[in-house]
Amino acid sequence: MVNTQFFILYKKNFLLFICCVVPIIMGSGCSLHKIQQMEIIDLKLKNDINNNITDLYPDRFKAIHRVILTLAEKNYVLNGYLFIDRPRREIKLIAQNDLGGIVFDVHFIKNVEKTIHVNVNTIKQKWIENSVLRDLEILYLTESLVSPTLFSDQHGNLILSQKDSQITQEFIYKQIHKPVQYRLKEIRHWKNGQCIYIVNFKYGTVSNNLYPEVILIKDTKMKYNLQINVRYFM
Amino acid sequence: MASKITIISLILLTAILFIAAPLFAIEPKPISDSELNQLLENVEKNFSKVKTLRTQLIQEKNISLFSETITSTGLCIFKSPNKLRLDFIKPFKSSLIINNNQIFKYEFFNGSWQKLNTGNEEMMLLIMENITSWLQGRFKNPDLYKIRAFKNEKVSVLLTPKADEFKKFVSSFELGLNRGMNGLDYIIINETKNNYTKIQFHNDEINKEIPDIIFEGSNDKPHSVPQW
Repeated sequence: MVNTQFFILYKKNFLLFICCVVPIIMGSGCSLHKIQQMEIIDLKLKNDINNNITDLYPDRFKAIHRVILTLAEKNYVLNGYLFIDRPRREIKLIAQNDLGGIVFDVHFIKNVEKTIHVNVNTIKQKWIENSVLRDLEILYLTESLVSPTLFSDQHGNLILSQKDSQITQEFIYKQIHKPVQYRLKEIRHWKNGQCIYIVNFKYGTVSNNLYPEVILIKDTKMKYNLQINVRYFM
Repeated sequence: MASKITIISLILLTAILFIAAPLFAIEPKPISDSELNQLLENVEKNFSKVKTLRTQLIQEKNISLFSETITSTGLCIFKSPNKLRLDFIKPFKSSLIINNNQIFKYEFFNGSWQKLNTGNEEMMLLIMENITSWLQGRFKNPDLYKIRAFKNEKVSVLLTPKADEFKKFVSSFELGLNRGMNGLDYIIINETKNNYTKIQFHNDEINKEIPDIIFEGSNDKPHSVPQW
């Protein structure tokens, strides 16, 4: 009798375990990445992929980000008006509330200027620096890696990877045309075997399908998610 | 020779007049305090006749970073006294609903609707309550705003936030009344640093039946609004 109850309880827990864990594993973009990676020695392909990091966008452009920020299970909608000058390493951003009114603005030139004005008390300048500005730098000002390694995974994706101190950066490229044309699909940052930051790109039909129109960012360290709809002005 | 000079003079004169004309355009005149009180009373009386309103809207954002005006389109649906829905259709789809002090927010993202758990509910409620009051012709809110009005061909009301915290966010609201002074033509949100948002209303439908269901927020997506 006890054994039967134990078995039922065990079966229930096992089913619960399967129901919870499998979707978590399936849903996580980070968890399975290390499986079946094979290093690619083709130097030309590696250089092409590495150069693609800086060729992803035009030198100068404007864009609107319609952002859903999820923080502590609450959603905040913001409109970000952006000007990017990549050769100057410059970002200008005006972030507006959904209904109008400037929440904060940023002027950033890498290693030269960082001006942030925040108009609401609930947002701290430091938070904007560590999240918004860092996200925009990763999206638009990332430079080619210095000594990357190129892998392929079981899905035919190419992974350009480089370890800098504690963080391993990965740029995942998906093949879109045969024989060789790849497009950036994901950026991942790893620390101590944990995926701490992930950016996912979805390309739409507007802008000739050249640039990502949907960007998803998940920062497990800063504990926020961003869903971004993008419109470009080029 | 003389006729040539005359023609050139005429062209120059026309050009000067054409360029200078806006300088002589009639400036909106400020309305005195006593007139203002009477005006606000009349406006509230006129607006109170509006029980339901359905109007299309064009939002123009002038952002200092952009040389181009960024235009969004949508619709505004109001049912007196406290039901309001603002839908944006282009370029991003969203729906913001206030229904008896409850606020519901939907965003269309990546091909489907998402119902949001809004974090800044109090602030959004405050803004939406303001809009609801304005749609009822109640512009006076001495705790929040300093009020002035200007008259040209039409009347516009300027609300300047009193609190410094609010001023950092929005420097003023300009509400443009229609010719009949029973509805709004536009709202301008003057932000800081030469940025402003203008929302223009057109194709108004007044006092037509609007079902309560479109203000409900129990579903995963907003209830569809019947076409014009």
